[in-house]
Amino acid sequence: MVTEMRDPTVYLLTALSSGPRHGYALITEVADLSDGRVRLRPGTLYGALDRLLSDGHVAVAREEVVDGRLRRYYELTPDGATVLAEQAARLRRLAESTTAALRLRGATA
Amino acid sequence: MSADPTPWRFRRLLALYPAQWQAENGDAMLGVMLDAAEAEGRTGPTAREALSTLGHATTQWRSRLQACRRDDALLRSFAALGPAAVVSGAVLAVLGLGFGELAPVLTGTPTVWGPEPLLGLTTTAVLVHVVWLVALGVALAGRARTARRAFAAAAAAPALVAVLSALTGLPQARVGLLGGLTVFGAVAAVAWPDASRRLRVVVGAAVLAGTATGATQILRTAAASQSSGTAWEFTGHGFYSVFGLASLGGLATVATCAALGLGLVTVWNRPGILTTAVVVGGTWIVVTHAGIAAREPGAWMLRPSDLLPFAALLAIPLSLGLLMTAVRLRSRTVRA
Repeated sequence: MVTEMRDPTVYLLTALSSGPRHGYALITEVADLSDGRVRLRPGTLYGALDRLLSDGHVAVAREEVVDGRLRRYYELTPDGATVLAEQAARLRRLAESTTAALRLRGATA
Repeated sequence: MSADPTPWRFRRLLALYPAQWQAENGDAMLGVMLDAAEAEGRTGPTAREALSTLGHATTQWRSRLQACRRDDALLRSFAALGPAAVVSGAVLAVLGLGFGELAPVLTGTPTVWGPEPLLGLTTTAVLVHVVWLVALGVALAGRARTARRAFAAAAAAPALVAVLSALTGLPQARVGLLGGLTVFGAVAAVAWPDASRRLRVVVGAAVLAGTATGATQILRTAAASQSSGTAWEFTGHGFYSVFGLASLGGLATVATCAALGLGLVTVWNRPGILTTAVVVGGTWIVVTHAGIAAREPGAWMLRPSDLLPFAALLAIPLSLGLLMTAVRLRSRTVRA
């Protein structure tokens, strides 16, 4: 059985699926992916990253200093990619069953 | 209008985190906050940013404390308090039974006024002493599980005795002595790391029940003394005359038992609470009960000869705990 993940976590994994990202890039990418609905704050971002790192879904790719600021890049691990695929399948099934139920409702109405 | 973010205003938020987390992630998180602030033209953090940081920092502290709780020298040394509490409680029980209950009968000089209940023994405390000695016997026989339950009973027995005294006309027991035995029994029962939660809850509930009864006794006696116009006595025994600090002694005993029971029932997995209850409460019991042999109303004195035996008994488990802590910390340092 696939464990349900919260939306911000799924968006984070999705943002990392196209390549390594640093913290602020993740915040902007998640905002774009969710059409501005999910706006991660630093505390929320690092809370999710802590969990994903300890679960092995995400790893630190590299670090660099830009304008005196440390940027730490994160990347999706193979395990994280599998989990993301499972979440996508779960959400697809949910969407399909919901759409079917609504179609049925429309037919009977 | 855009403005350069002020780093120190963001660094203040990082101070909320444990030092180790700050060292590992502080600079990276600061970079994120500065990037976000620069993009939004801010010089400082927003309230939401501060709240989210506070929430995450709290999570870090909590997980760190939980980890410490499992592997802390204090916790491990607290486990060593179990056997020490057993020895201390047994000594106290033997002394109480011998000098407090049997000696007055044998010498024909009862320490309690009025008729003597329980086949010539002087107070209901004899029940507590017997339970303690039975528990000790079971422990010496090597039956760990039964012994743990027996010590739980030894902690609960003072509470039952208090109820018994309140509901019957039997002379009330020496509360100070019973307070000490309650503390020792409870520590002995819970100090084993594998003591079940149900056992702790049962012991804690019993201690709280005894505390409530004790508090009721105090209030009832106080009300009776006010109506009669005479100075009231906490236990009906001259030794616990409320003249001087005797009333504080009674209250301290009740407060100690309350803290201990509450700790066992609610935050039983936090040894710091229990240790504090033992240290602070035990000290209170010693100080307020040791010198209450008031010769006349309004007088009390803290005599070293009264203080030392009590202090020694209470000091045994505490000093052993400190010693174990020092040894474990030293071995940890040597390994590191």
